Amino acid sequence: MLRYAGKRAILAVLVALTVSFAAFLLLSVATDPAAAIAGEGAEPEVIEQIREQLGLNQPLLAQYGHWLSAISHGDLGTSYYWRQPVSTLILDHLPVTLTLALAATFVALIVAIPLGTIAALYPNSTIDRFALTLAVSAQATPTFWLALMLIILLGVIVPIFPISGDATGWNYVLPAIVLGAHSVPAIMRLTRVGVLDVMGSDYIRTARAKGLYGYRLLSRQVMRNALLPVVSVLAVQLGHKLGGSVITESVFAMNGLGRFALQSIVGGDIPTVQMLVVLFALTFIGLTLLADLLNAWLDPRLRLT
Amino acid sequence: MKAPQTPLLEVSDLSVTLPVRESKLHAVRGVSFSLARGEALGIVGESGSGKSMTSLALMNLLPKSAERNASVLRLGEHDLLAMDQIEFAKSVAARRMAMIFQEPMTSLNPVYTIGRQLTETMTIHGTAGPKEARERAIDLLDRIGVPDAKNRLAQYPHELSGGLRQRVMIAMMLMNAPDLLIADEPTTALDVTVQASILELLAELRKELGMALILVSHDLGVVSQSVDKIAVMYAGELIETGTVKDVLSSPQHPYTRGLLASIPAPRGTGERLPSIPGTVPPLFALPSGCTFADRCSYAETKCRAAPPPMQSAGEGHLYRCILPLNTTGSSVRTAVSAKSQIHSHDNGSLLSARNVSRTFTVRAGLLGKGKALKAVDDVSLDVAQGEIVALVGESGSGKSTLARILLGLQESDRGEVTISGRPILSISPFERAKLIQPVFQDPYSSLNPRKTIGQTVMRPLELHGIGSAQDRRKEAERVMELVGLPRRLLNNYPPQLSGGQRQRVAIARAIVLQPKILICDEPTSALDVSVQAQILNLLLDLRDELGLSYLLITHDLAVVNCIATRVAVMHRGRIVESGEKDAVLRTPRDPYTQTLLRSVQTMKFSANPRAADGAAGLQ
Amino acid sequence: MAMQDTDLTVKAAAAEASADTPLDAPVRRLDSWREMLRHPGIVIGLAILLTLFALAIFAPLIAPYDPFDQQLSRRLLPPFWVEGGNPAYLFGTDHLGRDYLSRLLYGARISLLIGFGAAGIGCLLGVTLGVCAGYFGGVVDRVVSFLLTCQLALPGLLLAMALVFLIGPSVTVVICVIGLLHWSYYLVVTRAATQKIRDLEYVAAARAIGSNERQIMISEILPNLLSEIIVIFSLEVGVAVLAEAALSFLGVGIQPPTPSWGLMIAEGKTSVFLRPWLIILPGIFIFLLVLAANLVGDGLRDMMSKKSGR
Repeated sequence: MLRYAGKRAILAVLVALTVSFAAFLLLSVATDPAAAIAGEGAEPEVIEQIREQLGLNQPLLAQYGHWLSAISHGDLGTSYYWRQPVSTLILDHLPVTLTLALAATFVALIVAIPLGTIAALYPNSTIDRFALTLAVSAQATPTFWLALMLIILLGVIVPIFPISGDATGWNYVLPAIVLGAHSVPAIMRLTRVGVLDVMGSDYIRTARAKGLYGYRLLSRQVMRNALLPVVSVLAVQLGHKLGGSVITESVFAMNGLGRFALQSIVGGDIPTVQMLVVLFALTFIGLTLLADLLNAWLDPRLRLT
Repeated sequence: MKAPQTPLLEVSDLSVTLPVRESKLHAVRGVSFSLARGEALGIVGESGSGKSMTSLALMNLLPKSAERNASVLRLGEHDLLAMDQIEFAKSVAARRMAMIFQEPMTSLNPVYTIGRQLTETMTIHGTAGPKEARERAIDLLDRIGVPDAKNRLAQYPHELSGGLRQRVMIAMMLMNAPDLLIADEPTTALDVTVQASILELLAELRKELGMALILVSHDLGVVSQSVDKIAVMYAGELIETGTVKDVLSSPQHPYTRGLLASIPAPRGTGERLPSIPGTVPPLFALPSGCTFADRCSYAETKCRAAPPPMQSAGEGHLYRCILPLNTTGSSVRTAVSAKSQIHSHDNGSLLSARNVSRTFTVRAGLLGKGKALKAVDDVSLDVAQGEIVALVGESGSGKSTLARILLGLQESDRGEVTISGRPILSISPFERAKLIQPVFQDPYSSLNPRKTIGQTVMRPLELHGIGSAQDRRKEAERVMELVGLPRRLLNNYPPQLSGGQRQRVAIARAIVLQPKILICDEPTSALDVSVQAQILNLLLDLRDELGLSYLLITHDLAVVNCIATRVAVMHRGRIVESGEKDAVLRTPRDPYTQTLLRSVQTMKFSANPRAADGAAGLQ
Repeated sequence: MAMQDTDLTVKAAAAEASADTPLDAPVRRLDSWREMLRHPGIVIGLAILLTLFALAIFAPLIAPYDPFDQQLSRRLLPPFWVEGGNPAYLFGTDHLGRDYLSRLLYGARISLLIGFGAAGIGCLLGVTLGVCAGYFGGVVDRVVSFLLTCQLALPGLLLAMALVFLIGPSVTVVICVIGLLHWSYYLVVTRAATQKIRDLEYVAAARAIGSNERQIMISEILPNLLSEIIVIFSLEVGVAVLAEAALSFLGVGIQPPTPSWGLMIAEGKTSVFLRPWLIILPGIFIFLLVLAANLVGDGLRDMMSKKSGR
């Protein structure tokens, strides 16, 4: 188990390095930050001067080296758009996004897992059809459109929840539903397929030959096997929520990392965007590492490899 | 064990229907039998015979969409028909009647320990507390021959070998000492040597516990060794039932006779196995006559008029055929006349391997350390013109790796393979393809499902740029005829063919380039006995007509005994014994060969000559 | 509680029964169009897709007005069914007085182009990498798997937003960026399928008759991946359409005055309470397109999984 964890951790570090390099490279090559800082219509000499100041005339690899070593010393740089340290900015916006992501995941889980399980236990029943229809519809609905529809419906016509800002807990209800709905289809389908597969497996036939049935069969023999793949997907979904809250936060005017990222992009603030991309990637890597370890703990077969 | 008048299990008119697409499949029809306490019954049949469905029906394990009907279904004092699923699960499942399955690899839950799964059988029924259950589990495992039983309880299924898992499975089902154990193909997935020990164990346990046993198998050899009564199933019906002695030594139904005769046995050169033409029909409509009539050479018009009733041939010996076989079964031997060609194997060796070795490095994960595994270890082998050399070994013996090396698909680390004296690696892939070709085991995966039979058979010619499209078509038709397939199949896709037909297509593809040697890797082990006989006959015919030589890789000593000229036995990558067939099989010198031969489940009662005659008449 | 046994056992039983079934039994042929046209999901999906395609292709003929033509005097007209609507402008006009129906029809061109274009780029990349990784294994496989892990770790939407906006938003850039960020699904599936097929006996047989690696990949492996690739392709079309809509909605995708559904919703957002139809209408079009793509994909997958039960 320890060896397995070690191997996973090494892989995670390698991935983190590669991803940070990719983020750095993609965004550095795609634009000229010096011109962006200087502003539109700036003299070429001024741009050249800024370039020199920031070390942008050095080879890319050297720039990446500096960037990485600065990060490793805890210096995330200063945003020339917001004129504040990036670390402060991130810490300011983090709580909103974190709360929203967790709430949304919770919403997705309590809808998707029971629905998926019941759908699998009664295939082709009304509830199964309902679940599949819900999944297909949710998949086809643009997040921002769903958000606007909920605002029209629950915010205006039947005003129950606040539709803008992040001041109180109530502000999180609609955003959490919107963001959660996005991952319901994936989790529900996976649960359904997982339970279906397990129910049709040889070892469940064995369990039934032993005299297990109904709820006890489900809890003693089915769920752990069926939910194994859900664990990984849950990590992926939570990771995407941290990065994908851009739309939800923008529509509901919440001061989270997503909206902050959008504003930075539109403001041409490359260093901040790079840092955000890396931050989201690292979070994602951390979450999948956690999921891998959790899976290994749940499934003894994985501990061997 | 008194009162033999009331049987333990009574089944009358059992039928199972399954909805398949828009039609209904009558998987089991009108099956009746009974079983006394402590008695053992073997249910025998080929795939599609309904034998597994029958056992699942007894255990209430049929799929929900299946429909089960019977006039009587009774286990001791329990009327199984009157019970619902929950009642059955509470009071019968694993307490009175238990079942073990074919696949020990997948029949245990991979994420829970052996201990939990064993004790569960008792704790869920409340027959024992966790502590007593644990003690009982250790006792049982000990008894069943699982070494170090106490520590096994903390292990997971994947940490055990196939044989051990099947033992754990047996222990799990015997925790509550049931009256009846149903074993559905319990040894089919295991190696021969392990197979023998599991069967022995089942027999011992039965005597010890006074337990009744239903052994379901496709293998008459396995069944005849371990049961008192046999029931033969065909196309969903019980067609013959009686004591082992009655059924095996005086079979009444033509199908039983054919089945017995199809079992490979030593034969003279050029002599063919009797075989039953065709395959088991699926039953989407209830039959209007005898289900076997289409494959039966005795069939008369009256056979197709009405389903035949059960006839009696002595006490407890019943069969479902209206023709009195004893009188019609004249001793006409219509075995294919042998073109008794002389196969001399002194004109030098065609395929030859000298000191071939191959080691694999087994790596655990991305950064794991490599471990050397000797798959093939210093092997030398020769196949001469017209010879059939059998390479015998169990799974993991390295025989398949050796096959790939001989085909030139994989390089050896050391040693050399030559064809007609030329090193195989110096021959270009195109030239090599015209010398040596493979025929594989699995008729399902050996054909590309996206290509028509015609495309598959013509592909080698196309690849080699031989002839025009028309020529290739003609050649394909000729080869199809040679392997006994109708031309019309050329435009069909593999899923539309039966297993036997697919294996014929695979052979057609192999011989279309007119190679000299075929390497056949378990060519019949995925097929039913009656189809196996057809394919073995085809291989013999092709040898005579085309002068082919074979290297036949197999685990089945009966097949070896039947058609091989020479034998090499492989064990853990080495050839431990080789020589003329009779010498190796009659007087084996190597201890492993001896074990292997002892493990073979030979027929308890050899079919008498009269039965063989009857079967031969089937052709 | 009645526990449902899956249809797996039924399948197994049916397979057992029909395994040795020659031609006369009810046999199904692969790729049968007829069977496809009996699947309600596929039929509905295809019908919507074909309609949208027709609307997009014939937009110049169908659209009542030029989608770029601004009639400031006729700004923000409601659709005909709302009070004050003008039957000459069926779906009303937007804040610049452009005919909403015409813009919706031309918007179909953008969505379909980006959906199919991006899914195509992803397909090319993902399938190539997947088949190579699955077939060659070893180092190739490890490198590709590592690439995949890295790609999955990157925040896709954020990166797409940044790249499109910084490179300069245009239809081509949007197609390329979305395509380059959506190949992982193809890769995962084709890699696994190739690994399975690679070890099948018909591949060994193809090698034994003298086929080389390229011939095996193209003639033995790819045809067997086709149905899976089509399934993923149709699902990815939906994903790409949604991604474009999101980018355009956030103002970092398609730029005005090009008619894009996502952009139209963004433009209507300011008057969400007064004129909800400005949001509802384009939303319905996006929903229908993505729904259609998903219905086709799900339906095909459904059919395939039934078939693989043999």
